[in-house]
Amino acid sequence: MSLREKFARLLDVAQDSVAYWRDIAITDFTRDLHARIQHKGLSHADLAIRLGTSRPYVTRLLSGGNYTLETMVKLAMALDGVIRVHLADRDAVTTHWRDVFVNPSQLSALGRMDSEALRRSSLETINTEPLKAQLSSLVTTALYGDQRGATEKLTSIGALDRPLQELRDTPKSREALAV
Amino acid sequence: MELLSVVGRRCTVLWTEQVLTELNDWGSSKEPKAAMVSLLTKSVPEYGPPLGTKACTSLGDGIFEFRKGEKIGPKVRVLWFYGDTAETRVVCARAFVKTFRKTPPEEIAATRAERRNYMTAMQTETLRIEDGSDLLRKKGQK
Repeated sequence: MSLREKFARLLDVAQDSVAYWRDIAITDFTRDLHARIQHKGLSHADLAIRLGTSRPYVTRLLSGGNYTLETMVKLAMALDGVIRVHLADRDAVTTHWRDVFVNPSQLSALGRMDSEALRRSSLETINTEPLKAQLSSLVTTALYGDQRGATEKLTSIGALDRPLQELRDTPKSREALAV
Repeated sequence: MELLSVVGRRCTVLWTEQVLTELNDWGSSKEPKAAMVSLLTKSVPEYGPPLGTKACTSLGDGIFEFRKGEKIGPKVRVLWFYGDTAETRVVCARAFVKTFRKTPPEEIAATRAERRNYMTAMQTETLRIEDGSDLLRKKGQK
């Protein structure tokens, strides 16, 4: 049996299992937690105080597990966030702002773009289409675009801060983000 | 050396035949094995290994472990290493159902041997990679 045949058989059984799809939700949520904690510069002890619980319990929670919806909401509240649950296609991929603008390889590619051009194209195009589609397009450009000169332009990334802030502050962007 | 690949936005996960065979042998460990397949086909290709969480730990010497299974019940482990310096290739070398408290040293040794084979195959250009990403999409759309 070839490797592909073995893989096809493996997927057949795995994707009929609840565990396969549940794991995606758990991993997504755990990643979100870690990213938010890091973004807020909180320690496990800080989070324990916010939750009114012990530090070892927080450490256990953060290492992943079978969360109840109530625990998820409590964690989100402690991190000044909110839980939103949605249904997606099986092959859907979530794109976060942090993935788009924080990932160094993507930033390096975005850094190749002239900041004024980015600001113009972002404000003109993102306002007219669902934000997600436009972000996908930016990511695609960043990931699969021409990589020549990317390193040299890394230093110009700081120039993107203002246009990105402007982009977030436009009424339609806010509206799209709220959807 | 032959490997199967699943390509994602963040990295490519490469599977040895031993990993595919072991995970296909469902036995009484269906739940953790299905969760492991989910990790290796969805999460890791899209976002990279979840280092620092319960699902992924370093064993030292460039060998890492993906872990699935609840506190009580069967536990599945996959030992892996990075296949390139940019850390965009995750090579899953060995899979096994954990029966002892410690990771069996023979599994770590086997992973090191797979790493040597992989490096040799890279240098001698004898590494054959079959892409399985299209199968994942087809199954996901059923």
